[in-house]
Amino acid sequence: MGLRRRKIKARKNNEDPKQKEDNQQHESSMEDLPHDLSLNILSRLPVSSLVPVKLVCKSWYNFATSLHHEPHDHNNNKKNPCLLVLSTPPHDQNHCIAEINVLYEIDNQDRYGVISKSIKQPMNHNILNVNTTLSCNGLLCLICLKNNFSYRVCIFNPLTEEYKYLPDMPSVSQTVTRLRNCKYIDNEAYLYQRFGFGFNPSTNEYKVVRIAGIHNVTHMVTLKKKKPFNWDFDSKNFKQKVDVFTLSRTGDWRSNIDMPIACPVESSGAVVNGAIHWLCSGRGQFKESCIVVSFDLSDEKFRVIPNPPDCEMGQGCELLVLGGCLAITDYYARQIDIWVMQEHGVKGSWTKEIVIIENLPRIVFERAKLNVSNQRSFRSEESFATQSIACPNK
Amino acid sequence: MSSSLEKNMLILRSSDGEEFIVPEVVAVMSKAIKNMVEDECASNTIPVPNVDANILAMVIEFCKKHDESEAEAASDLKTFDSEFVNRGQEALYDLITAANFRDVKELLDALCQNVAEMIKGKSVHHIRIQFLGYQLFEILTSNFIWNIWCDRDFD
Repeated sequence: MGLRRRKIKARKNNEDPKQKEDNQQHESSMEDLPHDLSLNILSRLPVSSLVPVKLVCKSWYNFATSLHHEPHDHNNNKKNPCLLVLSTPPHDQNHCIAEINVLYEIDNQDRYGVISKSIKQPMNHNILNVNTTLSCNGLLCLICLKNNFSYRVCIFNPLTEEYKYLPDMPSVSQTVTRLRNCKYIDNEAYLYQRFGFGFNPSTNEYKVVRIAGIHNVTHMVTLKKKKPFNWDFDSKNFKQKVDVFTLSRTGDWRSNIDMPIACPVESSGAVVNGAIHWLCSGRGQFKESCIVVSFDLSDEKFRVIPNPPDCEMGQGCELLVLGGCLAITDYYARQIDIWVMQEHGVKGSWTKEIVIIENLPRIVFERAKLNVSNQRSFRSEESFATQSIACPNK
Repeated sequence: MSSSLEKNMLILRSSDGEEFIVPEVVAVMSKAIKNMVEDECASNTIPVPNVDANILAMVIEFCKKHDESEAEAASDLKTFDSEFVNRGQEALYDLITAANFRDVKELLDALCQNVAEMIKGKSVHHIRIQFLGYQLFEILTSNFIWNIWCDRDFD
């Protein structure tokens, strides 16, 4: 209605006959098309083009957002897998993130194209840098380091540049007891914090998981000084806490899950079969051989995945997803073995699919491995990426 | 009309009264006409309301080409389609509505794809001017207001 009025006004202002003709022509504009036709046209656009479309007018905004939230077809993205690669320039010395990131798309015929050249990562003056980037189905989960040295999680869709900061994570507790003229501060300190980000197909929900290793440190404060009372690693004072955040309209951190098994070596895990997998080492013993622990996103339970036979799971191992199956790359002296678990959870189904033996200098391998891990940090099927963040906008 | 025509020829009458003699196979590419023919409620001439002679001629041209070249290479058809839909704003709009009312699936597909290609990669202002008939000065004012809006300090 407002648009109409403005158009009439425009006509009054412009007495130029040619301009007038233009106006009449525009009377039959695309805005007047029936809704199903507008939807038909807009549904043919790639996701990145929907961003300007949303800003054009109210009705188009509604169409574009309804396209976003359309339930997506899982079979469709199995048919047309594609890889999105987000390349970010290295941080400079001041821990500032340069604002120019390039998003590439590689489709299943190995063609690649640049989708967007200047993706702005969501930044906030409270945030020092992005510590880790996790990804699932084209959505990024940025673990940001805040200026009080706690972490904050941000979910970011690089195609539509929408983002959402999750509420603060539950922090460690602190109790103070006074005895005579001393004050004992019972402090919990993080030994490590590892994150996981995955999609649960059975409920259509994304979940963020944090595994925190917490150690109790008691400080004794006298009038003069504050010194740690006990600080040696002690399994009595150590516990592992798991917090789960479900991306939904009323999401909050829940922390009632126990993780009795082991601690993940690094944050980036592989999401297969509705479960996040981490490479874990024995509790407190970081250089021992590793096991694979999975966290099922639907029943929220931890399970141990059997290791491949004759594979020494150690420092050179990494988890990744290969063709929808869990895979392990084992990298040792000039050789990379790639083990694939054909049937999820079945020990006998581990097969050594690919062996790369080349007499290349070590540096090349180092770089090759880096590339793999970089790409894994952003793996996507495009139709999934059309889904926007299922959280209320800020 | 001679009796030989009656078997497989139909007469379509546009909204402004012009008549077109069209083979039945071509006419039934429109689902709406196909239904009328199947229900046998179509007499000799089928009225096509809302579509004027100019547009109807285009639609028939499109259907004829698609009917003839069914056996031909698909790439030929594709180039024809892309040339066919490459028209001015107004004709495109009329064609889309006509294809929608008459339910010609191939034409609707080609047209919608074309419009989508036109929108792809354009800026907001471009889309507004091209498709929604905004004026340049409106864009400039709205841009000005938008900049003021954006300069506010959030968070």
